[in-house]
Amino acid sequence: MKKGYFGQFGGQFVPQTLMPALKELELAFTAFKKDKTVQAELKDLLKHYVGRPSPIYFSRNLSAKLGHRVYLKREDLNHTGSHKINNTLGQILLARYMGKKRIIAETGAGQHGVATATAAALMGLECVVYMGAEDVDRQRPNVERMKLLGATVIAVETGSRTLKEAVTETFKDWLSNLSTTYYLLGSAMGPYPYPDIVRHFQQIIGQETRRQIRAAEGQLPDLVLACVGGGSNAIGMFAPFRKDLSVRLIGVEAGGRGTKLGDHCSTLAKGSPGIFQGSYSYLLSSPSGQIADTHSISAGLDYPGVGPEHSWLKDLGRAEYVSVTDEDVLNAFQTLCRSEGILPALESSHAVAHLIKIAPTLPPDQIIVVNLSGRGDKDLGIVLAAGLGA
Amino acid sequence: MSTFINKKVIPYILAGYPNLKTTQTLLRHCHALGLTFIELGIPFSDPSADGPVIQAAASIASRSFDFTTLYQLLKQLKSEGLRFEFTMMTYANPLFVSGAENTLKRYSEVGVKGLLIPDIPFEERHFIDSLFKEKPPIQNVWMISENLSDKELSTIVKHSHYYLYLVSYLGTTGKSVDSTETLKTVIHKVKAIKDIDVAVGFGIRSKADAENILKFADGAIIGTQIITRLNEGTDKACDLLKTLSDNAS
Repeated sequence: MKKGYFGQFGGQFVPQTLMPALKELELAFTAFKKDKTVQAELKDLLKHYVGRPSPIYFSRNLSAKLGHRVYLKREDLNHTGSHKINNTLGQILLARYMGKKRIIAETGAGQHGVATATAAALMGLECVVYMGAEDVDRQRPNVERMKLLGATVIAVETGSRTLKEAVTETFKDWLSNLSTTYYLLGSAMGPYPYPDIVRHFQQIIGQETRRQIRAAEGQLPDLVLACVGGGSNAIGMFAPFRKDLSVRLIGVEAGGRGTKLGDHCSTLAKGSPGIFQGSYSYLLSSPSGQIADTHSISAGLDYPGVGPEHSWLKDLGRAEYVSVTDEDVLNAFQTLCRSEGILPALESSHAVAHLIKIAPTLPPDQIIVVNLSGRGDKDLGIVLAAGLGA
Repeated sequence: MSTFINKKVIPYILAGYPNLKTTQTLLRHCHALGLTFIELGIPFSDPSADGPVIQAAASIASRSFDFTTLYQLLKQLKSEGLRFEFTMMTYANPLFVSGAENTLKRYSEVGVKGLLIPDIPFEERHFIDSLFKEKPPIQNVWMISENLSDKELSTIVKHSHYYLYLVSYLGTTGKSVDSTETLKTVIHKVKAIKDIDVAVGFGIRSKADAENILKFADGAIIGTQIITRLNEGTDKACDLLKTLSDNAS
């Protein structure tokens, strides 16, 4: 495969002025992976600071209810409450390795922003987080957390005021401050080498899951589900299972409030290939090639693009990509709260929702793993406003 | 050899901002002033290389833009005998989605000679090639900047056959040029490799800026300032163009 590409997807679709920075990053990342001292430091942090390995939990009530053996990979139990910390710790060490003093990041739901602010605080580095103004409003607790951790949060007022604008503004900041600044991208998307870097740091999810499910069940799972926005938790879970063809992989996108362009974020399920934010990948755009507005109840999935490796897995037929509606998601959120005593993030609730939907159609007693990528405390305002808990 | 641009100011005209009628007015005005080398901006909803002024304008223009209507406008101007030399500046996705080969083939018939895609760097040129069964007669214009290595610069220059777009600073459009010394150094390096035109863009805000740049560059692109004036009224933008053309002659 051509370097930087997954089949026909990926590449480096950025302004020429950014190319030297991407080359610098690529070289540093290659050296970083071979540096035993820094790798030992990362391993130690993942164990003692994050609390890895995160458990897989056999969901006793949900399993009984659905007629399958359902395990939840508990990324919600990580320090900062989601899988995002796996990547930010890895990349912050890479940033330090490169001698960068200033960290910038985009965030949607604020989980990546919090994880970045946390890692920057730990390393004593300046941190600036760009967040769409709408997301600042709907994910307020995470904004306060980032500020407490010492980060500067910049509300982005352009366009749809959500994740895509936050990404654009972060790239622009980087373009203006290349020598001092490290862009700590939060999902497995953007120009090469970011999709590789983020997958590298997130694949620990799938690697642990493989070991854990073998220990628990003596075999690999029949089915693995994860939610997909940009696709970092999903690629982290899927990549180590890619060659295990008996394991069915399903990525669940945000179906939002309807199937009309603008009402959902089902990039892989309903989009077509295009060029956006650094890579050639599936994309939601208008017939004239303008990037579409999107809607999802979960800020973390509210994005019109997707990481290029997912586009490749889709076209290969190795993974399936589907979507569930906001309403399905709220029901799944409620189900997991009541049946297991776990408050999942609305993002992760998408994966649970799809499982609930397809459970009756599967052969009985399937071994299933759902990546519970984050916890839902940040979403209380949204779910209460939607009438849950009344 | 260096005869394409000939020490001219190159206005950046954002198609369809605030509407196509204004675009038509501006183009007629440019032509009357002798400003016939134009960078024609195709609006995009999410322009990653542009600062807030062009971004806001492009976002508005992108809602109603389509390649066919703009083509008809250019065809109309051509039928009236107005000759331009356009470089189409478009982000990759609108061109890709429109069907690049047909779009560029048609546009090449109404004066488009150059193609500048700010989110496709030289390293991804094969992607552009892959869009065509038969390449329309349009030249790629690559962007260069001070942070490229000599080797990278040399490769890009050797593969360029029209002119080069030198970005005056690292960042997005609409700020100001800090120093012309580094620009002179880059242009000197380019000319040592090949006799090819170099136009400078980003941060040129006034007649004085343009004059300063044209002392050592073949073209000076002015964009954000035209949009800023346009926001005050079409006549204000026309006034600015007039001062620029006086300077160019």
